Amino acid sequence: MIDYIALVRTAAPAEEIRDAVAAAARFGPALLFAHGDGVELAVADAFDGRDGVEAVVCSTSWRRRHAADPPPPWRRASLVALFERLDRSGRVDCFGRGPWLCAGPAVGAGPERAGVPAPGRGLLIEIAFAPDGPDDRTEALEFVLAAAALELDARVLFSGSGRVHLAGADARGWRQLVDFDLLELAAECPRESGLAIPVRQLDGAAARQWRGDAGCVVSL
Amino acid sequence: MDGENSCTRVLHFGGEAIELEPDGHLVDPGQWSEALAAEMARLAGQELGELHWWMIRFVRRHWLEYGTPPLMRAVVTAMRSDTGREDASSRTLYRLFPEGPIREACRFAGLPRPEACI
Repeated sequence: MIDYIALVRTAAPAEEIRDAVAAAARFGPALLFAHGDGVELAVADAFDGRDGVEAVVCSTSWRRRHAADPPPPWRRASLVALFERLDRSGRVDCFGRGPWLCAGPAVGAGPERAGVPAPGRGLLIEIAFAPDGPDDRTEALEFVLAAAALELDARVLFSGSGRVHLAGADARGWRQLVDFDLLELAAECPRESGLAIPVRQLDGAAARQWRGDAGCVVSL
Repeated sequence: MDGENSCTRVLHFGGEAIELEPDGHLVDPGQWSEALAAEMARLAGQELGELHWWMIRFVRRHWLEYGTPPLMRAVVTAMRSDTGREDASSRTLYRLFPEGPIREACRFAGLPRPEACI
């Protein structure tokens, strides 16, 4: 049972991540999962390992950036290691490009927070930022494809500058999700947005409803 | 096959030197042809039947269209609709390519080894 998950997709701010993980780990087992540029946390000496915290780098993200194994206490694992635990965790924090976000079940102030039932069901992957280069673009798509491969009860919402993922020739990778009906995709945008990929378009109220309906929201 | 070194291997085929990655994938996907795929399979001891060829062509088309290899779910769905094999499943794909359906199909389709872990 993992009570807390920190999904890290940025190498900074390491101090904030370390403090959040240390605080959360006081209440139960925690998973620190680094994906994309977040794997640099393993070499930044920002997390030295502590009891009850499992430190994992996404094996594909790591392999893109490093030839050697990650230093202990970090180990490599596929995204399965993350997805297997998402629906059993009491809280998920996403440390990405924006202000870090808490998602998943509501969390109280004390140890009783662990295991609080989710208000909704399923996973919402919200892509809220434009890709920060080719690797980031690829890794956002890989994250979603992994969820699709595992046939998770998941939906994908593009919002804010994240809608850039659906624009231009580079958007073609997302189209397979639509063409093969692998996951439900939507974009929070006006109807006249002219997206390159034919996804459902939601207004602000409908997008909020998607977020509210989800048992867990992971923001990339 | 000859000219092996620690990084790449060279397959002489059709009067050309075809460079292969250590894991057997083509260095230059532009050198791919169905005849070369058949030769690569022969050297690997893999007999290619009709369904193998369907899958190799499908994986290649998918890569060209979407820029990634397909998920097994997508292959199964397409196999059911394209070939009429209603019983197609991931098990069917593993029977075709026991060492890993997508990776092996990519190799014979002249594509890079899939990067993603799932």
